[in-house]
Amino acid sequence: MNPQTFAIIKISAGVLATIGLYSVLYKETKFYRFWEHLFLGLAAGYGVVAAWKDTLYTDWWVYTFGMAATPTAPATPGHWIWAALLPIGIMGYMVFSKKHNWMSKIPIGIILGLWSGQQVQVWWQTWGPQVYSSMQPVIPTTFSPMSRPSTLEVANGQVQTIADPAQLASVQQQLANNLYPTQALTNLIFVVTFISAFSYFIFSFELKNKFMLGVNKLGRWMLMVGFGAIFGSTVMARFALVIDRMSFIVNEWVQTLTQRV
Amino acid sequence: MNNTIFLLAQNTENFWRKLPGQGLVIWVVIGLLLGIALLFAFTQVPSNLRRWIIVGFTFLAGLPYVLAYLWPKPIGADLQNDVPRNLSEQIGFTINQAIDPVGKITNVLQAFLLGVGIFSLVRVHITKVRRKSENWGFSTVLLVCFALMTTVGFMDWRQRKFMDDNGLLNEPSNWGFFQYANDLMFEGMYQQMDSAMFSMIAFFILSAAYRAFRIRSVEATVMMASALILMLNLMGALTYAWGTGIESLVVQTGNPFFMNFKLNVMADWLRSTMQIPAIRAIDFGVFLGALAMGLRLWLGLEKGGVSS
Amino acid sequence: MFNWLQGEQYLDTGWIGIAVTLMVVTFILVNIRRANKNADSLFIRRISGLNAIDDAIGRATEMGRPVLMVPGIGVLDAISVQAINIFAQVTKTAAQFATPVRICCANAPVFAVAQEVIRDVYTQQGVGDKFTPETVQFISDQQFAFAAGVSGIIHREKVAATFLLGAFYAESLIFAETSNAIGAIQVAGSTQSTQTPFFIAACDYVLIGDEFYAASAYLTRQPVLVGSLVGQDWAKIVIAGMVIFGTLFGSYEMTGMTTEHRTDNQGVSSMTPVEAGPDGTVTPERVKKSDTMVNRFFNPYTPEELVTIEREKKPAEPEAETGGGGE
Repeated sequence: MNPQTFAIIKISAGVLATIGLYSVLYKETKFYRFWEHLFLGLAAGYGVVAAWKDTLYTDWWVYTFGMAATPTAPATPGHWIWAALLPIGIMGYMVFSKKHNWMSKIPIGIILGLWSGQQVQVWWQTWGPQVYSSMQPVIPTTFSPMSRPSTLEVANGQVQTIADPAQLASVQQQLANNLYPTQALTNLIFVVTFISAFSYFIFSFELKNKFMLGVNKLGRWMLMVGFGAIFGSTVMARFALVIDRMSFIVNEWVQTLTQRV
Repeated sequence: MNNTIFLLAQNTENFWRKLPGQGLVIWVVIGLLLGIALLFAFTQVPSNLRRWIIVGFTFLAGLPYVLAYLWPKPIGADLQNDVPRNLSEQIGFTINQAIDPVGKITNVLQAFLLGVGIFSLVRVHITKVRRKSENWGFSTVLLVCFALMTTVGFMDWRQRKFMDDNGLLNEPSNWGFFQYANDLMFEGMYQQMDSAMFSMIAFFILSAAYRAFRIRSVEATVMMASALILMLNLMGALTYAWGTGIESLVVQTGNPFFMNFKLNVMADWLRSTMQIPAIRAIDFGVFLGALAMGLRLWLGLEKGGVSS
Repeated sequence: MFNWLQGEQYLDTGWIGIAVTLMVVTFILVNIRRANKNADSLFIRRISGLNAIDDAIGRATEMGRPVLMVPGIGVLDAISVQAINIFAQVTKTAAQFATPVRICCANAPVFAVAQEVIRDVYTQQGVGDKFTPETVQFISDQQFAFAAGVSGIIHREKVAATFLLGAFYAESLIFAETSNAIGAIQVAGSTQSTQTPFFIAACDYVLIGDEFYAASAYLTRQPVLVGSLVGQDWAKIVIAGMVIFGTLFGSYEMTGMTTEHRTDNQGVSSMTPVEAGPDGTVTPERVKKSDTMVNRFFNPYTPEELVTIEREKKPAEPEAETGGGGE
């Protein structure tokens, strides 16, 4: 096939598909429905092929049968018992049987068992370091000045790093050796946020104490601040995606079409 | 079970590991037959034993990981090349070597079970087509695309994997029908539709934000205020203008402390002082819940769901 | 003194991790036992999102439209199983009112579990014939194809209520906003904290974090679940206590001065003295976080003699055969 023609067909199909899916923003029409079903069909086909070539072929077929030697690599042995995984996988299909449907729970039980075992293994490996890093110093070691000294200075009407090396070194020395009240306060806010947010997720104690109710409420607010921060940081990333799509339709498509002329 | 895993993990040929050849094929058939025998044996199991079989399989599957965590791990050991110094280390070596092959089982079973979903999908749509029920035409589109993509994807993989030792097919000028078809369907359509769906979120985020800003509750206000600071920080022109303003303030007063009020400094402070601990607190609870549920599933304590 | 322990102890992971994990496990098991004896004695606080479930189903029944449920797009794990357990409760109520249910799955093993569990619910409610292939559907295992398919269903079936509970990622907003556009009530909760803000902005009721796990204990009051929840709470209180104590004690330690700092290099710990000034005097420096006892507690001090262990090497393998051959 002429590569140019193919490129035009390919990019036009992509543009049509994009517009087709976008059309749902206006209304769910037959046009959208067509592209939706086409998408689902392609995705199912792609999923099946990917499951074979990325998982079953490498982790099951090759692992079971091994690899014969090639001029560059020695033979790898096969693990014959792995073949028994196929019938175990087939047990999953018993979910459609009225009589033997219980058997589908065997492969499912194995998957869940493996997952559960991993949880026990990774829990502290994931959380130990995070618990440790939440313990931040909150006692200032000096009260003068109240905020940490800056490594910046104003010179010639401009803000710049301190020019005198000896003075800069002395400031850095002070910073390394001291915890200033503002830093301690920031750390304290960190710990209080953590503890109050944490206490919000305690379910089995009835909170009657005014102080604890306060902590609980504070926890919820702190959660909202955290959520807001996530929301704010994500918005821009999503807009970048739309801009990329617009560029695909406007720039790439138009370019490909006009190149032909 | 443990013994099996131990032997599976050895790297020379042994009872469980055979080099390719006729002998291996016979052994594979034996393995397959063992599995099939198990399948047929299970059809005969009385219903009061079924729960115990499921619980047993679940428990055995999780055991290697739990043992690997609890058993003293040989320090600084090279599992492949070192000789264990004593029995305790021998066991430690065995368990840790077993983890890798055991971990593959999840992927393999997940992949086998994908067929359960695909079967159901195809069945639903074939029924629709056969009964000519509403939207059956679209179901036909789905089925045709599924069949085409599977065939083309598989053939393309096969040709590239086994019939193209010199990598000729990496060059489009050498492409045949399957490469063109796969490129059109996967790169040309599937990938573009994937990106289209993903990018649509931007429109939804706008409408969600609009509604959230309108809610007059303290919580929503707190959330959107913090969102606003982060959003403003990401607008280049604004950050620049604000930053210049702050710098001229510093120059006028001669006090560098005001630098802390730059938008990016405030946004970083908000993230590192409030977002991180708040999200950490949530995630800790979620992981703890997962650990608890994992424990209940592993020990077969969960009454509803899978082990009922 | 501890030569015989060398290389076999929990030095690389530290005993603290195992101790805490075992403590959590004990808390959970002990409380499950307690709950089995007397479940009513254990209290669970109100979870506001859950009270909306009955309202949502009631509305769907009035309008004669289906209820849509999505257990997230995660693989088969505790999160999806948990979501299905909650959906089983919802389905129980829905089946009583003959409100149609649509459960859309993105993972085939999750679909298999849902199929089993939901069919059981229908059978137990005596309406087994109402369970159709559309009740529990597998849509796609690809994230955005799934999103497109579910959006289509939300629009075409004009669902009256959506329950989005489980592991959701970027697609969360597509479901939430599409449901909102057709006026459905949404109850949502994602274990991915990065998606929770979007649910809060878009949905009527949101379960935050592990309220999701507490939900089935709250709904079913099964002793195992209630007990486990209480055990988790105990663990949280202990961990919170640890953080508070570690913060205070560590802060106190860090007000002191020292003449040597701890350094860790590839798992080998050592003490490095503070460099002397030009006149030969050593000026003490502030204690760093890595010098504290609190740090030692979490990151065991492992000097070289404790972690460097000589082991025999296996004899070299014979040349691997090249060519078939087998046995």
